[in-house]
Amino acid sequence: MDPEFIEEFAEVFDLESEEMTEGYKFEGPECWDSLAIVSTIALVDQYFDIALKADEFTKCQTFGELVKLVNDKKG
Amino acid sequence: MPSATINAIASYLPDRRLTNEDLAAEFPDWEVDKIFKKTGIESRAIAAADETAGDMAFKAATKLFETNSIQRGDIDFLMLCTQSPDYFLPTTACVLQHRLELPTSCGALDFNLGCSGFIYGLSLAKGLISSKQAKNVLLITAETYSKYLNSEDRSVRTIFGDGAAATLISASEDGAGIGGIVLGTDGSGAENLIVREGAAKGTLGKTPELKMAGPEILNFTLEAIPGCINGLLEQEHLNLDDIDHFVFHQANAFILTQLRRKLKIPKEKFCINMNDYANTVSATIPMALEKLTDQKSLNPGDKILLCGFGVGYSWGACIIDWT
Repeated sequence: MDPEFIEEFAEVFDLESEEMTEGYKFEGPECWDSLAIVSTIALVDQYFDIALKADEFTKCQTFGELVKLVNDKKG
Repeated sequence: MPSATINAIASYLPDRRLTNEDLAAEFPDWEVDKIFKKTGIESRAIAAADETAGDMAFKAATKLFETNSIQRGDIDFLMLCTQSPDYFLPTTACVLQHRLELPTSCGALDFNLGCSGFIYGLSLAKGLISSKQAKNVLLITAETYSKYLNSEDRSVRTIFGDGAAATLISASEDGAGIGGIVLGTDGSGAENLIVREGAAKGTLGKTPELKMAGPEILNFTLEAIPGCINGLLEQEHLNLDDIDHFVFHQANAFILTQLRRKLKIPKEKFCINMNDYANTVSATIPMALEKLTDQKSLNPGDKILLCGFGVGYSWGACIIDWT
């Protein structure tokens, strides 16, 4: 995964990039406020040219699952 | 065939202001700096309780007549773009013809579009002028979305502001002005930005409430708009480098920055100047152009690419040779 993407994605959750590991657990649906959702859509579009739907990635339990979702979509 | 050129623009904003500080006080976990960083907005104008889109349209047009040499008697077509008309009927543009003391020989109509409305207005005005049905078209874009917003819905209250812009489009023989245009529509997105109440499919008499699925709108924008812009450039045999200014619908700084990056448009050519008026729907593009004119940033001969996108879904883009 692109380190710049990880760094920017970590910022969405006010974290450092070292903290955004594949094992990072999202704190349930509440952590996905409107800003976090649109920021994630924008970042995934920018780095991977993929349109992710909010109801797909807000189900992810960990950052690792989100990475897998992106990789699967990339095909 | 006469060409159609943007001759003058005048805008109006209501006096009442909703600042980021006001919003942060209402929503304590919303930080002032974060709101500005993401939206590019510092404050929004909010129409008074008894102030309508028709009233704001009247004020913007009155300012246009006061600050320019155009005579009211020279206007032969009036178009009002709004989704908050004064009445179901009659047409607000007809009421405005009388209030503005325009000639009774003037054609008048409303059209219902949101953020793409200014581009559609330019397209219609160009058609009327090039077919010699009109010489001076007054296009007014006026919106009071604030009256449709649920006070608890912070994401829409942060973005939208009220306002109106009056744009005079006139016939010209020099060939410059409104150039190529592309338009687009995808009604499958209707549900994602909608006011259901108050009209025939909703419940008549129920309080209207705007519902916006922000993530869906973002995905639509990032998917549809780059293709629209590239299609227009291709149609007009232009490259990105040929354009001096990109003036897109000022939705919010976040979405604009994403579009700019995706299209690889240099920052200095890309307009984000909505900090003091917010997303005024169909009025943002003329407001942005007026501001650029006031800042003396636009020169005769400059090529400007305008693009509007949003509710519908509906979108459009056009090239302007600035005169």
